[in-house]
Amino acid sequence: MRWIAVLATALRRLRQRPVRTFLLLQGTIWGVAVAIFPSAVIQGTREAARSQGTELGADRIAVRADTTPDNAKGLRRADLATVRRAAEADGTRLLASGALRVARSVVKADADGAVPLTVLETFGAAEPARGLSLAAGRWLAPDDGPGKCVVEAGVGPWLEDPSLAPGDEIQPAGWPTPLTVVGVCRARSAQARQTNDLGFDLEHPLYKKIGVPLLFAMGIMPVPDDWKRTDCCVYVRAPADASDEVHWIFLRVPPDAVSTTANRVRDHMTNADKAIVTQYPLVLPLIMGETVDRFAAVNLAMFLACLLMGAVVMMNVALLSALTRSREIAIRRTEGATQRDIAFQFLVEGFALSLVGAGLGCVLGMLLAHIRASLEPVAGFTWSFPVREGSWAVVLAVVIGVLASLLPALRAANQDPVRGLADE
Amino acid sequence: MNRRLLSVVGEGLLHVVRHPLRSLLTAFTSAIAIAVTVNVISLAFGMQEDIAGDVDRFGRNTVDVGLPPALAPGMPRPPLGAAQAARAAAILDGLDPLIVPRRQRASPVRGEGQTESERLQLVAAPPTYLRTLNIPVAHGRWLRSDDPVGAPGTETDAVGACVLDGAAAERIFPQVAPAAVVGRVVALRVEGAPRRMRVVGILSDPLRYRELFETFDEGKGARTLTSSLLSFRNVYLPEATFGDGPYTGISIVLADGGAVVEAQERLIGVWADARDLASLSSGRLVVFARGQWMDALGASTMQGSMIGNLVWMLIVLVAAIMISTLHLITVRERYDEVALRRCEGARRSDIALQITVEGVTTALLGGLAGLPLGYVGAALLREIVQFPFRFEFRYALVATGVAVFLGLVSSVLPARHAARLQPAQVLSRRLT
Repeated sequence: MRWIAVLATALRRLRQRPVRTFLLLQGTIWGVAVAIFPSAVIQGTREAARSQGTELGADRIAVRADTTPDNAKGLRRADLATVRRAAEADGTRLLASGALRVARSVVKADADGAVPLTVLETFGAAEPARGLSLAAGRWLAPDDGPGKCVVEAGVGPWLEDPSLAPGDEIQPAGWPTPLTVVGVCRARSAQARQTNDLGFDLEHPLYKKIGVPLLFAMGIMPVPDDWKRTDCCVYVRAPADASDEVHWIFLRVPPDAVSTTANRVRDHMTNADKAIVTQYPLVLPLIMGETVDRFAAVNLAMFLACLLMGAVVMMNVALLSALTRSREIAIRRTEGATQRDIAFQFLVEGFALSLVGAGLGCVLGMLLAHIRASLEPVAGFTWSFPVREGSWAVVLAVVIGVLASLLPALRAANQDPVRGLADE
Repeated sequence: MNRRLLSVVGEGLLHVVRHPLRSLLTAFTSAIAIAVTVNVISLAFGMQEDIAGDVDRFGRNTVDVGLPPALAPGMPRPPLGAAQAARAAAILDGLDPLIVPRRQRASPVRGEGQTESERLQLVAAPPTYLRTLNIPVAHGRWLRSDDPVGAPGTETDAVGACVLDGAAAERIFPQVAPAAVVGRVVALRVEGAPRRMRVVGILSDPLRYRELFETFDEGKGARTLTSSLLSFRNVYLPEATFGDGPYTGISIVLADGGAVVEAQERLIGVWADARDLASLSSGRLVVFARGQWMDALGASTMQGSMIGNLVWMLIVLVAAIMISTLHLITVRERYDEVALRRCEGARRSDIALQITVEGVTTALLGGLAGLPLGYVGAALLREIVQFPFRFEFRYALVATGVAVFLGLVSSVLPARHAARLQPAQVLSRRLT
């Protein structure tokens, strides 16, 4: 009961001077905010990459031939087996793999700027390897003839047949034979459709401004592969007598294994004297890896620096207030308050101050995390409240706050009430 | 006047000494702020300068002509060979260009006596190739026109010659001192056949922060052969190693920046401009000025470190706010003293000056204490994140400047507040 009364007194004092309280709390607020905002972004993005990895491309590696060496060789059908072997060499679980050749693009005659319909000839399980999922029907089977097809969600509307379903027949303009639909893919989210193989959100306002120059500076050039983002592709089995050439090989592996698998595939292909380029989201493996945690530790230093500054200011102010409130303290002592009560009152003030500051810091941290995440032109960059780091930061902030009020509390408690009153 | 000023300053200093604990705490706050500032300067700006120096070594006056990096399937390859080199020479007539063709392959490379092989770029180029860069030979010598190319086979005595990039030598011979790599033999593949090459020289590594850079370099797999050349982990071979087929690229070295601009203008009249992204898949040869690429690289690291610096700057700002709060509260508790001094004849400006002197003195003292604190802090951080850390006298000077500035800024409000006090009001309230 008495404790609650003391706490109420402390909080009332804070409320009486809100501006001063707010200024006082700067250190705690910023310290806590700085401590938790990187963790919030890292954790949120990790969760997103794990839960919607397929959607974001976090589990996907796209392989194409490097066309710049003068002895450049295109990818062949047999390379799919080599790539698969290389990917699995380390015991990595291959979720899906397949190759495809961009066979034909059909542009609507009557619509300028409309997305083209693209027919892709596949080897292996190219459709699931591209991260698609089925809405109805089945994937193409190895023994399906060239007359069967799987269509992406946009194909029906493109052909002005929104109810396109397995069993229907379609005839893309210029394609030699009619195709029987065996599977229809689920529509991909807008986010997935505007994300490229490198994990960048092509529609993000900062992509063109920062993303493209940065990629250029890193020696990574854009690839003409708009068909990947149209959601208007028709997958057919490559006929047995078709050309041996493939344009893309896609692999899906667990998100944590993407980077190492891609490196291994590249090394294997180099040893087979074939120059290739491997593309996967650049930022997500970094976020998933452990290096970034090491860098988040830098923030711990800033957190402590802020907290220390905050503690010093709080201590200083509390010391002054112990001095200027000597009259009040003396009166309270004569009213029967013990030395412990006085010390306790100061400690509770410190506790309440730093708790309020830490709370505000959490809110500010989330705000910073939100701003940071929205500034990144990377698909899947988001944030979530880091419970573990957040509670650590709050506990530490409160402990340091209480410690800072220890000295003032002792000073106040040890004041002689007679002198405090006689001063006047 | 001077004596008056002196006495005011003396009064301010006296106050600092008279309240040691209070001054100490304020100084401590600015010490932390300065420690943070020292870190900001030495980590961010030091690194910035180093990176600018690094990229200058990539050859600022070199213009590259190469194949488009993103040929769409079925698109014809534009020819690149002696005819195109001759054409470039004709286009650049009068600019005195040095034209250096190269042929480039990726290959697994293994040092003899080592177990692991590394995937590296093999660059076959004439001896003039070194002039496209600005990197010194660290050990041994550069390639000469009479260096042997060797013969296919693993047991053959016909060993060719090669020069390694510093980072390549480190990868191929991890346990060997760089100077001792000269004279060793590496096994690699030329057109699918094994070949042995003796190392005649090692180039120094232009990338000071290679380790840091490579930690974050997830994009290496997405780079084409041509662009991975500039990661400087190459094996340089005699020009004739890959026969006389087409070139992978042509580097053109010009006399100065003005000639580079002129040359680029002339070349993009014939071939595609690398700055125009649409042209990269146009099927034409692409012209690429290294200097511009460096500027792009510099700008993007600048942007990156600006975002990083913002957080640190924020902390300095927070420190200023806190010190200011501290002063403000201290001044409030000193109403009586200020009022008395005004009665004694002190002017408003004297009071303001006194408060400012106090603020600056404590901030300066704290700042000086913060310098070693920052030094230790940055060294600790370097241990944790392997961040490059440089501590220089001029950084300390700037940080001290920041400390004074911090003291000055944080005193403005309290000083104004104290100066505006009405002595009569303060004292009359006190007496009632």
